[in-house]
Amino acid sequence: MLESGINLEVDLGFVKLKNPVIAASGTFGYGDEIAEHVDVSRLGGFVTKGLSIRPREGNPPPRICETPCGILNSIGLENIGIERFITDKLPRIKDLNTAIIVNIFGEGLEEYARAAEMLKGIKEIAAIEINISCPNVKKGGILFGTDPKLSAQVTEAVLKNSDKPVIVKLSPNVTDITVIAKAVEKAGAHAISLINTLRGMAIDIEGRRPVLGNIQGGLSGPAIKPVALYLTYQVVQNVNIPVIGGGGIVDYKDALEFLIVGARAVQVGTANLIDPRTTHQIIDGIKNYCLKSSISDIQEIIGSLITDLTQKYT
Amino acid sequence: MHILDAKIISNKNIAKDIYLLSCEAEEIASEARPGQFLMLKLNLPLPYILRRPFSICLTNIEKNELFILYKIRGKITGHMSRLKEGERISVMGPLGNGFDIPSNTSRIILLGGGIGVAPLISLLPIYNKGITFIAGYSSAKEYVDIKRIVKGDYTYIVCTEDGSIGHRGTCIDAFRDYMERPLSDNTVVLSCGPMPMLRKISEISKRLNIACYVSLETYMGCGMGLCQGCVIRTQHGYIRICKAGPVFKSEDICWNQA
Repeated sequence: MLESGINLEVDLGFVKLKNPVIAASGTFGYGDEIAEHVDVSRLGGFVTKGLSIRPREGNPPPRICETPCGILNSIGLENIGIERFITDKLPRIKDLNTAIIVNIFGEGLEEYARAAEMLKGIKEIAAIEINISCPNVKKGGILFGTDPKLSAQVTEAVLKNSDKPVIVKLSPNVTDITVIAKAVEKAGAHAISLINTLRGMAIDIEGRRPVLGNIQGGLSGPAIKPVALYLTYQVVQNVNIPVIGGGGIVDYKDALEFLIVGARAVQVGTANLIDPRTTHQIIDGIKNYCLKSSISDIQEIIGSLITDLTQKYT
Repeated sequence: MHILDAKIISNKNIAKDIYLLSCEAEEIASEARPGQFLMLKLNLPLPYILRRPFSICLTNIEKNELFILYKIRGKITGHMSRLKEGERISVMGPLGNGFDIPSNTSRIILLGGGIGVAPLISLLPIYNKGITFIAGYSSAKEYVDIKRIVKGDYTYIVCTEDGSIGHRGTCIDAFRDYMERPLSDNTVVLSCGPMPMLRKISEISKRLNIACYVSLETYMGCGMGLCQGCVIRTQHGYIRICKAGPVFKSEDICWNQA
């Protein structure tokens, strides 16, 4: 979209986004409630809360706590189920005029496949994002995301049962993320998004108990940004499909770092919880950065990283 | 819901570790209903990132003023207690459902444990005369002189665990004693305080067959229903306290799992 003469539009190949800023799954609800407070149409897109074929009630509380520069959560993929999403939520979000990406997960290959199938034919959905990386559930989730073979199988199962572009969301909790990235690319994924949360825990020393009801949780927020950025950089170097980067982005400068290393778009998560206008501020910030740097198209930034450090500043 | 950079008007120490802060927040003050809450963010550098929930204690619509009664619990409230007039805090709100008192109510009993008195105070300017406010503190040092915050003809019963002011005992004891007198029909109890206290109040109210509402205090991620971090087990499964609450009918809560 041309805003003050600057083209912020990014093309993921399967969908064009008006700008590269996407709200991440689990921090934007289903898009309906937050739309009462912020103008969602300004976003490049948003990803729904992770959905499964049946409703899930999630983990016992406490589910969230703050740690230095980050938050730990163990929500446990609480969700209303795909059926209710289609009947109750979709009518309320379909006209929001932004790319709707539906995040899905399952406890086995069949459930992933069935979830994808249930979303077939819904033209308002721009893409499916597969969660193979949630650290907070016992079955499914991260079990798939840490094994290249299983990652590929889930990707294939979803592709086979879907008429939508498929984005695979990777876990940082692996030894070598490039192996998983290449596996899902080979399996036919249209894009990769990363990172999901890092596994972590916190202890209440008075009670000598874990702070979270689920004992362990997933770490997000500024604390994980350097990790997320490096993993994004690594994945970009190793695949040819578009990469959507994110992890700890709170302002436009963070977002630019991901774009510079080659992410085609970014996901903003935890920052939405602090201020639901964050994505707007990031879009404005990127625009101002372009204006100031005489950049007329966001493409000039994406993948513009200079690694030849003998090259002088211009 | 609004997010405002609110200018602090005053921030007074009124009891041990307890402060009354007032700030200018026109849109929020004019929309707020009793029992609703705010998510506050101080202008602090990292490592602090999330907002923190606080009850709305009072509003003054003519002066666009919001009042927050809070207790120093940790680092953020510690910083908050040192804020001076003219400084700014980010205030998001009003959030949550607030107290919804049935129109046929003939008697209102407010029960506050410690800093749990904060959201209950917001009802005083509206119902005043018919209200009995029972508050329990650990000692006279923590005692909040509510009559100085909101003047009026309501009855204020104070109890302290060590008997240093008012009746000796907890507000649960005082509630039990109070309820021994003949009750008018359509009595409503509204309560806020620590979970064990609310559980007890809920039990007593159920036994006496009177309507009881509780305002729950909890850690929250966002306060807007986005993160699903602040759930409580209810008869309808896990429910978000920030969105469906913070005020609940006490019979809806699964107290044995809360």
